[in-house]
Amino acid sequence: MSDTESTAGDAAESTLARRLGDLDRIVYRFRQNPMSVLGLGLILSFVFIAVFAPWIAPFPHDAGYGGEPAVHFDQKFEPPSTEHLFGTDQAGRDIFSRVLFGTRLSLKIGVVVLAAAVSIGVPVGLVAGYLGGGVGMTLMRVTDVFLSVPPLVLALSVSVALEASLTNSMLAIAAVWWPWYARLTYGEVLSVKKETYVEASRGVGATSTRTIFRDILPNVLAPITVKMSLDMGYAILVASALGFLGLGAQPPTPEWGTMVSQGRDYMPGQWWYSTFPGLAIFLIVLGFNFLGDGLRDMFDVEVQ
Amino acid sequence: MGYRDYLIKRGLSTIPMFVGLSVLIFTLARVIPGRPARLALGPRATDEAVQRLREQMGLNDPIWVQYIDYMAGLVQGDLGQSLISERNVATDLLEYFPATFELTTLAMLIAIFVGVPLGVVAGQHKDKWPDNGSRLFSFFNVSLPPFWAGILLQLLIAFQLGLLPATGRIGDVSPMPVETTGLLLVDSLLAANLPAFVSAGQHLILPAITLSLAPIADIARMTRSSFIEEYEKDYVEGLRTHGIPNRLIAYKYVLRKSFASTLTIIGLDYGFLLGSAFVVEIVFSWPGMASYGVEAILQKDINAMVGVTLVVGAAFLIVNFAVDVLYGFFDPRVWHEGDSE
Amino acid sequence: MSGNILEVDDLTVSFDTYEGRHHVLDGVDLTVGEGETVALVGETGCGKSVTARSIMGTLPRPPGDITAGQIRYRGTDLLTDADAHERVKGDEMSMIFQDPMTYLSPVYPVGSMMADVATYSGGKSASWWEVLKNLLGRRDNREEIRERSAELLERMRIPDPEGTLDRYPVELSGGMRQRVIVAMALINDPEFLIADEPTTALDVTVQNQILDLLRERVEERNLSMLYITHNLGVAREIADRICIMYAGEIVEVGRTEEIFDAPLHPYTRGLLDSIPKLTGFDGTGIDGQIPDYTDPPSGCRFHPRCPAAMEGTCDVEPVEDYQIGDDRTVACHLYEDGMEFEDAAAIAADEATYSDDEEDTVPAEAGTGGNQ
Repeated sequence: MSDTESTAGDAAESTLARRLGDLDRIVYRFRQNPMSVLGLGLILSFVFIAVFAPWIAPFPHDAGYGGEPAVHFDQKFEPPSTEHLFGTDQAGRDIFSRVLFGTRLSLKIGVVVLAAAVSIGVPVGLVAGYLGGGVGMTLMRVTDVFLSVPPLVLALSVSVALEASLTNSMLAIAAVWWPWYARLTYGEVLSVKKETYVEASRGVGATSTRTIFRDILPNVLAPITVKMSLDMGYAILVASALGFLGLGAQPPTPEWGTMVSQGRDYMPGQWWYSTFPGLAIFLIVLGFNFLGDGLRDMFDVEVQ
Repeated sequence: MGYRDYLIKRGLSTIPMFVGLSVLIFTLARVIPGRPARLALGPRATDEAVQRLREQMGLNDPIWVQYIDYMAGLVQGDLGQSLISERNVATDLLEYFPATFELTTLAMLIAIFVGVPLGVVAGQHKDKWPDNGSRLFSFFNVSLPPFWAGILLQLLIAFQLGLLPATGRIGDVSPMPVETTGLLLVDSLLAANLPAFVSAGQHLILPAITLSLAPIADIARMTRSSFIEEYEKDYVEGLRTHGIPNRLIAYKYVLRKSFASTLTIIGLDYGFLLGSAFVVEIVFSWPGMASYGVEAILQKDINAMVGVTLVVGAAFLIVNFAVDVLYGFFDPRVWHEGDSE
Repeated sequence: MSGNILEVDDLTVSFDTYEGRHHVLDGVDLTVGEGETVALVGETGCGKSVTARSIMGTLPRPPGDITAGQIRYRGTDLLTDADAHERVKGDEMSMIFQDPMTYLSPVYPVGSMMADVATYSGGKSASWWEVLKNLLGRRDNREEIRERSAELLERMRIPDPEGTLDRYPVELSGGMRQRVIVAMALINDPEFLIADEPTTALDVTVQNQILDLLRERVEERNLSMLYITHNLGVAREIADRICIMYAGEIVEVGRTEEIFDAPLHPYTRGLLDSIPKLTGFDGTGIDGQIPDYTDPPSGCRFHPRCPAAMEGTCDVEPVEDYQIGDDRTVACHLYEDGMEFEDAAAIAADEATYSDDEEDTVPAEAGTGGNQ
């Protein structure tokens, strides 16, 4: 490992350089794993769909693009056909277009929830880990309290206390998620702190912020990235479950979970109504799981 | 330390945990949902009516008084009144809990008997096709939204193929089974009521399978990785050197040692299932406690919410205790802590 | 030669890892006569364990790969006859290991493992039914096996043998565990025992006890033994003959006392030099490190570290075993096949030295470990 005689700066740089130099090997390993490549492909396709939905969807107005979603009651409950790939719903809206637009919602949910969770959790973990002592202990106790409540209960309670809406459901899920990031960061900070060069760096007189950014953050980034990609899938699953229960996005917003729930009223006759939005959820979560797993192998990291 | 002492120690520690849990849940339930009395009576109720209800429900007392009242009632079996059913919550729970219990237990059993061998086979043939196949299967399982999987099963097997019923707990059988335990399978067996048994069983299959999907993946994955970890240990080489057959090594020695970690996962998942079976219960119109709990949350029925969460929490603790008991059986080192080395 | 229970002939083994192909063993020749105890001595990483596992048949392949050679047990080549290998393993050959804690399964009492060894060695297989019965604690010959196990534990000087059978490894001390391992190896009355550094993890007094036990067994049952160690002192105590191994090659073989009196190979001489003597530690040790097995040195594998290396010979020509006198083999270009012992000793004294000290042929008075 690093020689205790080398300067702190050298040691920190060498860690970063080592990580970057490993990049070749890392990318190679990623390419070796067909599932992660498949996952990446799936996710990229969904991102593409989300961005270009207005142009790909045959009936963007049915999904609410440019205002309230259109209704065509004369076309209601048409089975899948070449014109309506996924059929139409009870208001004659093209389900295929709605599913495509639903991609935007799901990705948005995932990103927002995780961004919120990370921006709360990581600083908490950093501060707790770096400062240690009483402050650290208190912060982690608070985190533990949040962790001990069954997640779904917490999410439900929070989302119920507020009005049922997309934004509030996102807040609820973020509230459940941030403790994991806090704890992960905390653990990483602690183990990095033990590395000699951080001590040396402080000895040389580097300021705390410098230490954090040069020495601690790069090491923490990898497990956090892995966890984020794994969590995206779960966040979307939970969000769609809330939508299914009627607590998330409200109809006529084309959120996948909400659509599956609505489709139940028309089973089994109009089977396409529940099937296709659910399929979309499945595929995007699958993609994130493949991707996250591949990333985890790549970085050789122990993440739950 | 001795096995018995270990069990006593573990058993006793569940009590303070339960108390802590009840405090937490109670506080949350009082604090988070707003204005339950108002909501119960509806927006057109007068302010006086709301105030009267609040007095009646004890909502104007300080929280710790409310807590003590509640716990005192709990011990006597009075969990407060549900706003929805207008009965004692305890009665509601007794009615709905067995259904959920039956469903989750069956789901867990399926998960264990499918997941463990899957994990063992994957571990024995690491990186070859049984392993990769099982990993792929696990990925699929955890990515499936449970409500969608349930719906698909209903569409395919119940509606399309007509093999199994889509909803409900039991069909129209006569005589209906007498409720002794509330577990329909058990009750119908006790009464030697074969048509009821068959019908109850048929109704259980689809929801149980749906619920078991995620745990199967968890269990298989954990079994596989702890199996592999054990398989590389020295004593396996020792046993092989002495000519002990592979099958015995795998199922007697390695599985026993590695099963301990799988057991922990089983415990965790079981507790989790008890609390999160509601989506499946809703899809299959299963009259269980989990959907009762969701209704309670949606309707802000405080007493019911607290009651359900307490039951779930208690069940979780009991399951964990059972896991501890079995863990000690599988890994004797745990209760030898403190012995001289 | 008749009377040899084990003959290893030109054993060549490689390992494939992500770093490349390690050429671990390069033509290893080894014999163990009936009733004889041979010590295989070498530093860590020289391939002793790989040799042992190849003989036992427990080398994981892949990544291991036996590319050449024969291993003859009582004349039968085990490498070509897998069935014979299975049969012989556990029935006639047995092995004891270095770390008693990790080599015993922690979740079963000692007696259960011993019973399994007694029942299953020799290539028998277990049906599902048998596995189930075993798990439930029932087996055939339960009483008889238990008696045998207890008796063996008693021979190993374990107090309360019956009670020990029901204990878990975690409840026993290090020395007791190692005795259990020895007992497990002996329960089927093998004729050939490989001991892979069984005393390394133990402290000195326990070490001696185990050595005593092994010696007793050798005498009583005419047990043949291959004793692997990096400790010359222990080798001296227990072996009739010593094989010195370096980097996958056997460099010198001879009778124990003779090797200590007059080591011929420069590596052997370096090893003996390194042993601290009662008079002080004035050995210089051997410079350098063991080679990289993915790209081993050409010719003689020791030549980069050898004080007597001859350019043009040692780095080019592979070494062969030269017979010296009537009971010594050396793999070194300093010598010639069929040389007389006195001549060889003279060459050794002149050229195979590490310091200018004239005392370098004084035999080590105190070996490490082992005292009487």
